[in-house]
Order: sequence, then C-alpha cells, then structure tokens
Amino acid sequence: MRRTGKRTSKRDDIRLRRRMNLLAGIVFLSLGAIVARAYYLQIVKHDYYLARQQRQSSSNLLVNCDRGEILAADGGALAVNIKGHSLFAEPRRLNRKESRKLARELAPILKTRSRTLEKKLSGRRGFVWLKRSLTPKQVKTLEPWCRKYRGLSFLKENRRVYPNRELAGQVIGFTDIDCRGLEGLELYYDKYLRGRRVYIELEHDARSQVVDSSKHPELDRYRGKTLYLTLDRHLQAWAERELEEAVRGSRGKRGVAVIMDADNGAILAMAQYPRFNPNSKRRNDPSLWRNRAVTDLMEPGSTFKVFTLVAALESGVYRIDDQIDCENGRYRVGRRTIHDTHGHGLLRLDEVLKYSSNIGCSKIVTRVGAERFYKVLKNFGFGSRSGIDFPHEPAGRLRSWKKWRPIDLCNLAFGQGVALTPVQLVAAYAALANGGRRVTPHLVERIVNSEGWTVYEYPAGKSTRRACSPRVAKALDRALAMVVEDDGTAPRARIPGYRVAGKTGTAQKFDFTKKCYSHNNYWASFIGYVDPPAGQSRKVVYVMIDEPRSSIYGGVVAAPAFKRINQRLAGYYNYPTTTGAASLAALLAEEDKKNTELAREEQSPASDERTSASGRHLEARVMPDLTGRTIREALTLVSCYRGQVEITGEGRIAAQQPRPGTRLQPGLKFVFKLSRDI
Amino acid sequence: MAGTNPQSRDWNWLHVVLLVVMVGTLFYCSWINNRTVIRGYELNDLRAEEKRLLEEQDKLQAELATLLRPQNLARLARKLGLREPQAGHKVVLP
Repeated sequence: MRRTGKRTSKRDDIRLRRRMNLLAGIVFLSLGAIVARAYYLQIVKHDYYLARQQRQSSSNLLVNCDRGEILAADGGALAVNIKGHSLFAEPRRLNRKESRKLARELAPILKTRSRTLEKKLSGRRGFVWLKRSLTPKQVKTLEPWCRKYRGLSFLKENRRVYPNRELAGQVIGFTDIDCRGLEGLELYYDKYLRGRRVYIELEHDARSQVVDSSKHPELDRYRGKTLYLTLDRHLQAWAERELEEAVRGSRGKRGVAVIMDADNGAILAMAQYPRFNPNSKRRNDPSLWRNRAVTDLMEPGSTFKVFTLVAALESGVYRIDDQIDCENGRYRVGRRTIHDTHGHGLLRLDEVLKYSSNIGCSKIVTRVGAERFYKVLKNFGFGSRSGIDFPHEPAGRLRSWKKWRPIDLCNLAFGQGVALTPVQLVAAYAALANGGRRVTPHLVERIVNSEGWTVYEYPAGKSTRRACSPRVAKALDRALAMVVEDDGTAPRARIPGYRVAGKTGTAQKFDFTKKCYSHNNYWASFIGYVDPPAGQSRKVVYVMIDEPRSSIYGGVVAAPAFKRINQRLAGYYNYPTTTGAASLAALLAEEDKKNTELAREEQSPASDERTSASGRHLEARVMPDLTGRTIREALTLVSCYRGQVEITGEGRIAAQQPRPGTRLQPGLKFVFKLSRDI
Repeated sequence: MAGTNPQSRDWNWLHVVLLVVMVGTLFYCSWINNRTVIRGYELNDLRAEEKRLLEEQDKLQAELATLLRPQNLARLARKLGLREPQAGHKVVLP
C-alpha cells in the first residue's frame, strides 16, 4: 500500500506539473498574442489608427479672430468688440407643429413677422439664423425656449460697438454684421483691422463633449491690429457741438468742420452735422453715412483768393504793397461783369484779401497769367487727391489752364470754376500756415499689432515738398490777419488776446437743373488759425455751413463758430494771450461786456473802482469786502496769499471769511459762500 | 504541496508578482486617464469662466467708454452748474 501510495503521489505531481506548464504555456501564448497584436496596432498600423482616433475624438472649428480696435489720440475707445448673442434654429430637429408654435411665440420677441419665421423653421435645413445681435433683454426672454426646444439655440458672436456713439461717426464708419468694414476708416483699414480666420482643434469624449481645448493656438496673436487715430475726442466733441450750433443758428442744411495740425497734416477733428450714430446705422438715412469733409466736392469761393495772391507774389509780378484799382465794385471782362459786395477804389494786395475783392483778384490773376497761376494751384495740390487715408476721396476738379477763357481765369481767382473737398482746402491752408510746406492729411497715427508692436507709424518729421516760399507764406499770414480786423470781412472771428488769421468764403452753389449759379443756395465758410506759443504748431480750423438761411456770408455764419472752436482750442492747448497776463482781466471784461448783462455790471466804473479799492486793501494786508463780487474776481485778488480757499454754493459772493477789515497773514484760509440772490 | 520543489514555488511567486504588477499598472493607467479627463473638464470649465469674465470686462469697458464720452461729461457738468473755462479764464488757485 505504501509503495502504491508513493507511486500515486508521484503521478499526481507529474500531472500537476504538466497542467501548470500547460497553463503557463497558454498564458505566455496569450501574452505573446497580445504583445504581437499590440505591436501590430502600435507600430505597424500606428499612423492609420492615430489618424482614426484623432478623427473620432477631435474636431476642427473655424474661428474668426477678433477685429482690431480703433482708439482716439488720447486712448479713448472709438470702436471695440463685444460678444453678442445670436439665435439660430435647426429645423430638422423640429416637427411642423413645433415650428408653427415657435414662429407664433417668437415673432413678437424678435420683432419679425411670424410668417417669415415659420418659413425659416419649416424647411429641412440643418441651420438657419433667426435673429442676429440680440439685445440682453431678448436673450433673457428667449432662454426658456432654448431649454425647451432642442432645435433652438444661441451662438455667441462678435459685435462691433462704437461707445462714443455719434462722435466722429462718419469718420470711423461701420462694419457689417460679420465685422467686415463697409464705410469710413473701418473700410479703408479693413485689411489691418480684420482678425485672421484660424482653425482650432477641440478634443471630445465619447459623448462628443469638449474635454480639452488646450490645443488652441494663441488666438490673440491672430486678432486684428489696433488703429491709433490722430483725432482728439475732446476737440472732436467741441467741433461737433459748435458746428451744430452754427448750422441750427443759421438754419443751414448741413455743415462741416475740420481741425488740422498744420505742421504734419494730422487731423485733430473732423466734424459733420447732421451727425450719424454707427451703432444704429439702419435707422439713419444712408446719405448721412458719407464723410462730406473728404468725399464731397464744393467750390471754395473767396477762401480761394489767398492762392491768387500766392501766385501774384510767387511769380514776382506783384509785391504785397502794390495797389490795384478795384473799379468801385464793377468790372467788365468781355461780355460779363464782375461785382464786389462793396465798391472799392485803390487797394493794396493785402487789402484785396481783407475786403475780399473779386475785381482785385481778377485783375491780379489776369496779369499773372493762366499758366503761372495753374502751376501755383498745382503746387498746392488742387485738382488731385490730398492722399488722406480715407476711402472715396475724389480728385478735385481743376481744368488745364489751356482750356481757360479770360472769364474762367477771373472766376478762378475768386474760387469759382474749381472744385475741391474741404480737406483739400484745409491741407492747402496748412501749407500756408506752416511756412509753405505741403502736408498730407491723415487720420491714423500708428497701427499696433496684437503683440504690441507698431507695424506702421505716420512718418515723423517735416515734409520737404514746397507749395510756396516761406517769404510768400509770411506775407500772406499778415494779410490773412487783416481779414479779422474791424473793417475786414470777418471781425466776428477775432478772439481777444490772440492773433487770428483767416479768410471768409461765400460761394454760390451751382444749380444743376437750371444750369447756372443759384441765387439762393450758398456755401458759407471760414478758414484760418490762431497763433500758438513758440514751439507749438498752428492748427488750421475750417467751418463750412451748407445753404445757410439766416445769412449767406461766411463772415457772419461760419466765423463765430470758428471763433468758439478756437477759443476752446486755445484753452485746451493753453495758448498764452498775446497781450500778457496784465491785460487778462480787461480781455475777460471785454468778452463779458459783449455777452452778458452780468459782465457789464462787473465792468462798470463803480465796479472798477471797487476792484482797485480791493486791490489797495490787499496791498495793505487787510481783507476787503468782496460781497457781491464774482468768485473769479475774488480768487484773482486773494491769489497772492498762499492760503487755502473753500468755496460753497453758486452765484456771487454772499459771505466771506475772514471778515472785511481783518488783517491778512500768509497761510490763512479763505471761505467764500456764494448765492444766486446777490 | 508540501513536497513541492522550491524552484517551482519561486516560479509561482514570480507569476503572482507579475500579475499584481500588470493589474496594478492597468489600474494606474486607467486612473491616470480618468484623472486627465476630469482635469480636462475642469480646465475647460475654468477656461469658459475666464472667457465669460473677459467678455464681461469688454462689455464693461465699452460701457465705461460710453459713460466717459466727452458729450456725456459735458452734459453732466452742465447739470452740476459747471461752465467750461474760456481761454484766459484759468485762475491758479493758491
């Protein structure tokens, strides 16, 4: 038994070992098969399966990168992007009943007709826009519908927004709903502003949910470039306001105002009235979209006379003190008679400009000759584009001198028979203002890419192209300054304390139906500049009112707006008065005297006496009685004491601290209580 | 099994260890994969949140620019009884 038992155990052991070996063999064979399969899949078929996996787990999405911004010179945003919601539907996922119900319910919210919506929803299309650029209120109202219906959803899109609304609306222009430039600078610089279209890779899970979007390229790198304009928002706002006042005051049809830096052609403001809000372009008349300062041709009228004088002086035919017989207001050229508004006898060349004599200019140009005159006009850039970075600028109209008849030459001398845009005229005046150098008007100072690198910058430095000699420019600067004298054509453009030079323009509009110049419709304009302190460039300001009704003269309707714009400009750039600080009070008094009864009271002899009496008090270090005075007077008087000043209320001084007669010491606190009842 | 060869016992242990390592590796890989997916979702959520906040910031900046536009400031200043200083009206306060 024992031997038998031993034999059995040995046999079992062998059997077990065989089984174990068999199992190990199976395991290793299986592992080998797995390894072989893994090798086949991972190494041999690597590329095939990788591509297949990528196809299943990732997708490419085409993305339009953000459009670049438009910023003013002071950094204020003029055009930016914000994300807006748009509503789309997948009609394939909706049945007919649902489509009808949805169309009925959504129509009042989307402010469209239910029939239009039903038509969109009833098809078998996979995607259809129902409404783009929804308002936040609409989005909130529509959210329950989007949750309820699978075939209805929002999509976030970029929306172009103009935060300053009407400010420089025509200059900036606008884009379409897909953020492509359609007008203004948005159109001209579209290739810079437009963001690139790039594909981004999205990784999905088994349920097609996006797992990881980290494979996005840096989208910011592909966004559009930012434009930095030369426009200053404050100057633009002032110009627009003053222009509006001038157009309304003169009951005009429209108006244009331009402010340009004479040294480099940078446009600081380009205003237009009526204004246009690019945020709601569809609500505006399309004729308002046009930037008339650049796109519209007009006859310059008397503002052109200055170039007649340039030709006279540049050619050496005349000197500035030569005299012209202005024939007492009537002068025959062939079968036509030229008239002056007021008859004049002998006038010096600068006086011809001062009194705006048509006859004087006609005589000058006749003697200068057509060819020389034409050459001078060409030197100033008339008859060609100014080169401004704005779309649709026409070349001015200036026929060849060979086609001019004697009367044409005379008409040209006072700005008839030539057509130019306001910006071309401003550029020509800028040349006169800067000493004879031609400038190219421009609106964009620099372009910066998304990484902050400047990719374009308007070339700094002064232009070397000459329009006329500095000697002639200086002589005409003096002549232009005479225009605003009391007996000139534009005393209303004069600003006390500043030297103003400019020229009025009253141009008849051509009536294309009657094929003659209209006797009712005019362009009234004024163009000029104020002398800045040394080191600062002159700013040429142009104001034009189209078809004014209260008066037709540029010196009456446009000059006051020019004056107000320049007053603000002088304050903004801190121009010192030409007469110095000593006469400041007198200048202010003169202004006030003209405008308000209040100021007349201030400037009465009694008041002057009181002011000087107060001054004497202060000299004696005794607090004067300032009751009833303006705060400005009080501040001027107490400014020599380096004390604190506290002002409460508004109006005139009702109470003061220290009391009258108090001995003054440095560091004292002055308290002024103002009241309107004084 | 008492009479089992010590060599075959070592061999069995090796099998067990290999199996444990394999199973452990499988678990570890699936755990890592699971964590990656979860982190991916979290990352995506955070990115969406960042995007939303940036969009909100854009909107607020546009609104700020609208409120700070010169015409609006001038209107508010007039409402408060302020006047724009004319040229030369500046007085240096002591």
